[in-house]
Amino acid sequence: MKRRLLALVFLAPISAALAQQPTFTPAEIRKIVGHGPWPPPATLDAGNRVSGKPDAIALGEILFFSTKLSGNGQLACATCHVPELGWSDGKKTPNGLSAVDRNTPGLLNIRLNRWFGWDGGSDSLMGSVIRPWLDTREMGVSPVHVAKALREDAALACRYRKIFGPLESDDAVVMANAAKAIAAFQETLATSRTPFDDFRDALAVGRADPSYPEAAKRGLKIFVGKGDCQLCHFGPAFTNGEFHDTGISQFIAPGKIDNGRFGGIKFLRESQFNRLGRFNDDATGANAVATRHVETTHRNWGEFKVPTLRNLEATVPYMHNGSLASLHDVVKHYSEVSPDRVHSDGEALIRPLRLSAQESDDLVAFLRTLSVAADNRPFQKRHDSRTCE
Amino acid sequence: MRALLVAGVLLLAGTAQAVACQMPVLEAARTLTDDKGFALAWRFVPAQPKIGEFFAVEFAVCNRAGSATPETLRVDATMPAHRHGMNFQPKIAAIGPNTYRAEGMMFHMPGKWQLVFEQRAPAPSVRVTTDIEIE
Repeated sequence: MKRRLLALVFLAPISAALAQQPTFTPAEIRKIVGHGPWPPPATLDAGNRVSGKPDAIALGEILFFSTKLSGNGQLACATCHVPELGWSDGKKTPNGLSAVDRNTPGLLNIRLNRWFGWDGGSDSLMGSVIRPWLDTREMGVSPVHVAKALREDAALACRYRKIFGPLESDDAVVMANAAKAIAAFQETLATSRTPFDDFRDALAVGRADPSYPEAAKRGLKIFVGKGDCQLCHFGPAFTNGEFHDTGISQFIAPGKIDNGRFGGIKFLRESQFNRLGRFNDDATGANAVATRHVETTHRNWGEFKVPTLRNLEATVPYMHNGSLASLHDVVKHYSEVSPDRVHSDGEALIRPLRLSAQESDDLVAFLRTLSVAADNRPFQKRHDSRTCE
Repeated sequence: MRALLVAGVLLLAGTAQAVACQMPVLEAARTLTDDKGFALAWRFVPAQPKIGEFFAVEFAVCNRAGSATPETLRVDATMPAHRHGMNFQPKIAAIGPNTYRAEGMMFHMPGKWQLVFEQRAPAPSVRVTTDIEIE
């Protein structure tokens, strides 16, 4: 009798632990498997004729870290896109030549995007490089400035000629080509496989992955279940690449609002560097289908792009205005958000998840399994800006 | 990714009687009809749209009082539960007699979508819908 009691005493905690182990329904497994495989296949950008070309990637790397392409000669792309910070800057909002309103997005896996920037104001990586150059708050340069910087630096001019031929007299063409080289470099920035990917691959073939933390499994079940997070954070990159109003304040300052996607579409359509323009190298125009069909609607006010969740830990703080300082703060926001915070003509997606403290911790534990520290090591430059290899 | 036809729902906005006509042949198309004689056959191109990828809808309309033109037709998709539509505006072109193609459509989220077809002229307008589950 005593032995039986002892057995019950020892087995009770084990039973409790087993009861906490999540099991996944077939529908949940389908959703989880949909977040892979990782990495996705490598593809070239049809709109960028130097996409994937080693010489262009080399020039792009040099230009990315160069301060020659800024109005004050002190700013580089890398000033705000810091490699060991997920190619973001760790600040709520950055300072270029002056204060910028939006948080610096990370650049890892950026090649997978359809739209670029929090408002999707660019439809190509090339366009997303040019936008901060021309923005007087960020890099503050003109096509004339960029073309002059390339013409006057013998090593840069030599590298440019090897890729694109003689430096054109049209400064906008030179600037677009320089941006294409940086885009080719940015296409190489990618995250590694994560603990989640191992778990997902095992689940896909019906195998167990005992190394995946139980808390992360519970968090994943919330992610694809109660939280419905995968509606927007969809697919292998954990983003549907589109725009939603998540109830984060649109106010930049008293009386001044950020109109988000609404302004982004207007900017895109007015830009000479969009894919409908002469700088798109895809002669078929097939890669411009999104740009041809996108139109502003009233609900676009206050919508911002759904960011990838991969390498999330390194890109703190979060949201378009950097207003949430930690993953716990983000989960708290979605747990408590009032639908009244969303634009009245907007979609009806946001509802408070009302997570318990344990559920919030579990969701954060899951999100952490989408990052690996190795992706945020200091970047080793591979090319010398003083030479023309 | 599967696109499952869940249910067909028909709405007629107007009172005029439809005129019987010969429906153009559209292979592998699903049909929508109403009790006033309006008929529409439609299909996805490609047959199984994927979330986040562009697709087209080809459809044939059995007209009532007069011929439809691309300008009098509208194709859309909405998520009624989320109170939003697509993020892209399809463009319609004629591809044959009474047959049309709506280009530039995308389901950007998984879940229940409603496909909407409208013929706004000649009056009265007709609107037919069908529900689609996209995973």
